[in-house]
Amino acid sequence: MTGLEEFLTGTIRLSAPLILAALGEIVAQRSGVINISIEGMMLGGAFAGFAAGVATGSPAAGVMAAAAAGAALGSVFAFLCVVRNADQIVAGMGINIAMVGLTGALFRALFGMESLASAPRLEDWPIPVLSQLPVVGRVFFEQSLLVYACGALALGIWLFLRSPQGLGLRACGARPEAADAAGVRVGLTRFAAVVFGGTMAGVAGAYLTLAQTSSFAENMTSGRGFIALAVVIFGRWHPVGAVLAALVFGGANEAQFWFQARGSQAVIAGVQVHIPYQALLALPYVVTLAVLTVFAGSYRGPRALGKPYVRSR
Amino acid sequence: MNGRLGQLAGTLAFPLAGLALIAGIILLGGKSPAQGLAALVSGSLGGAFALAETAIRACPLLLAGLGVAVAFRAGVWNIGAEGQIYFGALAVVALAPVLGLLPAAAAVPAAFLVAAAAGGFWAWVPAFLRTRRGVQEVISTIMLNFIAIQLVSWCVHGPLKESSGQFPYSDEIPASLMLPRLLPPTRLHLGVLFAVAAAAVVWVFLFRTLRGFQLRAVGASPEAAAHAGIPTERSVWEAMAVSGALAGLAGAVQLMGVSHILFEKFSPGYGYTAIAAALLGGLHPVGVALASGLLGALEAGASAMQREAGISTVIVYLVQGVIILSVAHQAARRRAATEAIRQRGAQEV
Amino acid sequence: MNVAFGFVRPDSGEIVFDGRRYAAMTPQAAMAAGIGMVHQHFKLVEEFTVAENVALGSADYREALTPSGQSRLRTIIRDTGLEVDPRARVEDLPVGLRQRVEILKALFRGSRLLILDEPTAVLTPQETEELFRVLRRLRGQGTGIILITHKLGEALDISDRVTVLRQGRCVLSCPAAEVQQARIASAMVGRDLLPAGPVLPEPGDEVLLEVRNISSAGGDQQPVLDISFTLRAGEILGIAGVEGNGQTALADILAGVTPPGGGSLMLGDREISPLGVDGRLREGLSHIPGDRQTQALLLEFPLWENMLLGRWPLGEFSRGPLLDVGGLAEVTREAIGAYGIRGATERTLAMSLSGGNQQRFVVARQMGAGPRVVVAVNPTRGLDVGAIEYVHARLAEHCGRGGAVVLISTDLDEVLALSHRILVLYRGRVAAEYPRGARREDVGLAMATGRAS
Repeated sequence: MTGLEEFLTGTIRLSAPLILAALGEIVAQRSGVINISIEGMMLGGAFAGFAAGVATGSPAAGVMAAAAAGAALGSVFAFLCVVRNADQIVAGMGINIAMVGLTGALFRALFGMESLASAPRLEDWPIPVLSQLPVVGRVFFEQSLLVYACGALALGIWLFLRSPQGLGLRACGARPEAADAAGVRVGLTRFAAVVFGGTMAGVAGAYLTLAQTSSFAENMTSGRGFIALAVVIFGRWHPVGAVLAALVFGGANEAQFWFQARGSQAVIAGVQVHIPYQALLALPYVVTLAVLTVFAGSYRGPRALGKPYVRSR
Repeated sequence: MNGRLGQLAGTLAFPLAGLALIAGIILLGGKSPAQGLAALVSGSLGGAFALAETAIRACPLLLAGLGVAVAFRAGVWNIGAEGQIYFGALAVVALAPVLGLLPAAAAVPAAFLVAAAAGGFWAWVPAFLRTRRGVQEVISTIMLNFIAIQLVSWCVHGPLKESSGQFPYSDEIPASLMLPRLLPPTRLHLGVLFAVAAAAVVWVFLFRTLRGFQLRAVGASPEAAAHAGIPTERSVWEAMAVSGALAGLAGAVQLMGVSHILFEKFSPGYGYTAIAAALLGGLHPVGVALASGLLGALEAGASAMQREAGISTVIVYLVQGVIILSVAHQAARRRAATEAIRQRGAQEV
Repeated sequence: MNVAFGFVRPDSGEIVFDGRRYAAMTPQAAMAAGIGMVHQHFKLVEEFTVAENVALGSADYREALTPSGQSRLRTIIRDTGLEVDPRARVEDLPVGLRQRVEILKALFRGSRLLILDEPTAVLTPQETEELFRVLRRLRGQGTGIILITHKLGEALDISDRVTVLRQGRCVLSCPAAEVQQARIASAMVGRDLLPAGPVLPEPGDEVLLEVRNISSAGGDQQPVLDISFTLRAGEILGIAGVEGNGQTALADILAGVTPPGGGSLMLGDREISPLGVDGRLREGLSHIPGDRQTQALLLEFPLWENMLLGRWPLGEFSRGPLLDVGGLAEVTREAIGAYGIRGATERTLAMSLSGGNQQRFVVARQMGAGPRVVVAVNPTRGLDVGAIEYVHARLAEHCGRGGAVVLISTDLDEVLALSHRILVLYRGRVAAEYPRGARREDVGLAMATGRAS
């Protein structure tokens, strides 16, 4: 593989969990609920995927367990915030903190400190014919199932949002009173959207333990869930936008590995410059801030985001 | 939920479920929950050493939590305490050579001022972005958290790296900047008293000064505040400045009282736990102090729990999370009850 | 209309529509039966397109988005003349076109009866013409239309039949061809004997407030276009008008909540337009906001802090950097006693008080600042008779002491009972001026048509 191909392949692999988590959050946020506990749900999915994978030897079982864990956590969050109208930020923080403890404690209890348990890897599935294409073939079509799922899900969610059901969901996030008046069941829609978001976050976590590494470590998500939130905003709550935004973050992450491997030197305009890897890690956040600042008005998001809906009569 | 029994069941649902979960996990690991609880209590409250450890852990949570409470009361969602803590500590370490030249009595207050200014600056950026560009502070503060963490990482690997050049942390701060121990051989340091004093000052500010009242009014009802001639934007600025300054002080106190060096994982999420402390404490200085104490006790007791009952400290986060979720659930139920009363009242003239 | 459309259950009687009798309606049943309501405040989702909004308003939003549903929509647009692009986003449309979307929603649902609530309130004269063109066409196609309006000229222009409701009763119903505006106006305001208002002192000569050519700077409500008046000591100037003709903008400008776009405000010999609410209070102009719960009070705070809310600019409660809590508590207790707010102390939360007591507190607070000019906006809205009399007596008392009041109120009874002079506000301008004792019908007519009689 050429350097460029390596770089692009690596970028895609690093972006995949962000895309999965962000796609789920887009659905949740467009229904009007802001879920900042993606981080915790990813962690939960990572552990569930790891544990199920080790127990059964099957990565597929791991992914399903992760999805189930994400769905369960999504249900807890949805119960608190959609059914009981609890504060979404507080509940989100609670789940994040709780999951660090839950996964860490379960890991120790089940595997112990010195565990060398290794989860079965989610292998790459090259797509016949397409993977023979020059450059594009090796980069895009020699990836694991979950990466393909990213593309399929992005497309599927885009189509869904344009569909009549998607209209109902978007109305819940834009103007729930109008949705309610039209016969859309706002509470049910939001509940389902949040559970979907949780499921996706769980699967994103499984990617970390089944495709990226084969082990689990405490708090291994390291803020990826928050990056997914930034991806949602940066991508303007649009599935395709989120994919592109996630690639930017993934690319910056991959660039960081690249530079470290090459002694953190680069040639810019003929001058050799030392770029600290922290600058590359910080770059996506700086870019997000810059974009939000410049395009202030258009990054508002669904109008009813974060506000519980109570039918007033 | 009708009837007293129903009310009680609703309130206890989350805590009991959480408790069962925690006990279950401990048992799964072959350990004893009862032993763990005993160790937790003794490790946090049993004796002078334990209490000192509790106080030390509570200290940064209290300072940063006060800042969060001030901001939230003004209607400003400052999630950036974590970054402001880092930035405050960073400023002190960066200026340590200069500050160290001062005699101790002047060095410590000077360092505090530096940290407060630095934290205030880090909070000023999102305030500016909100008032001038309409950028929601929830996101901008989270972004700045990550940027601050990377900034500190770069500094301790680079310009602020300790003198032998081997390890990614800063030199130890000069002795004049280290906060005196109050009760040797415990680690209880002056910062704890400072934090308690800060709580008192914040209380006076919020509830006994005009500016504090105006800040609360803007947060409670921007429309009523506008009709009363209170400048809304100014309150946003002030709230963020105070909030950031307090978080910066939290970083300074942790640096000068406990760690004495700056390193990459300097704050293991204190900024976020402080938000939990602020919310649990009902955004009131006394509440925040109690909540910080509770959360600090949990962290202090956790190490004892690990030593004596073999239960890993990480489970403490599960306890914290369950507490937060229970409180959020309870608050929601209370709001629903108040709203029902208000609806009934709204129908009479 | 709320009963007809099912927002409110009637206590007695029935609704007969299209040959069917109903004891009570629900919005769903009304829509199913063929009644469509076009509200004054649109219920549109701005980010969505016209087609999506119409779909959301239809019986089956899934069906509405299919090709056949879309083609049905286009047919309706063509047949009724409600020209609008289904693919346009509502946020890009001007108000007149947004209203068309609301009407389309009702028609798409198959409404045989359209109820329009103050439809021309937000339209330019040009847009009103176009709306009426469409309404006539719909009438020709067999749709029944009920138009709720205060604008007599338009009502007579477009209607076949006119009905006047007052205080919940039908007082007039006849073919439009048989009445004139004057008759309608007099039916609207009635000839009842008013309870005798408080005895008002004679106004003096000293000019306390002079307002010259003020206009609004912007905003999305009816702006003030060009208003001038003077206010003398001892005088109550009433500003009457139907809601939505600029009262809120005028109140905000006078109070100092928003700066005027143009013109000047002289309080005594001081130009106060650059001053905010706090500066004006210090100069002697106090205001009683129109919506006590959201504009005058902090509901979750105790009364003593609410006292501070209104009086902080005067600096009477500051001792250095700290608040004089004791002083505040005492002043609050005095106000509670003086204004008869029973069962409350300075620690009581504002939300625990009844509406009447809340208003008494607000009036007590604002008058207690010792102003010379008081701007009172709907000061007795939602109050019982006792509270109304009390507030009116305090305002009259204020004038007796040499102060003056600008009373902006949509309650014509109140304005008539309390004012030395009455200005009628119509579409942001002063349409007419009447002295105390003017005939109710005349003022009502001016309010409804914008023309003095």
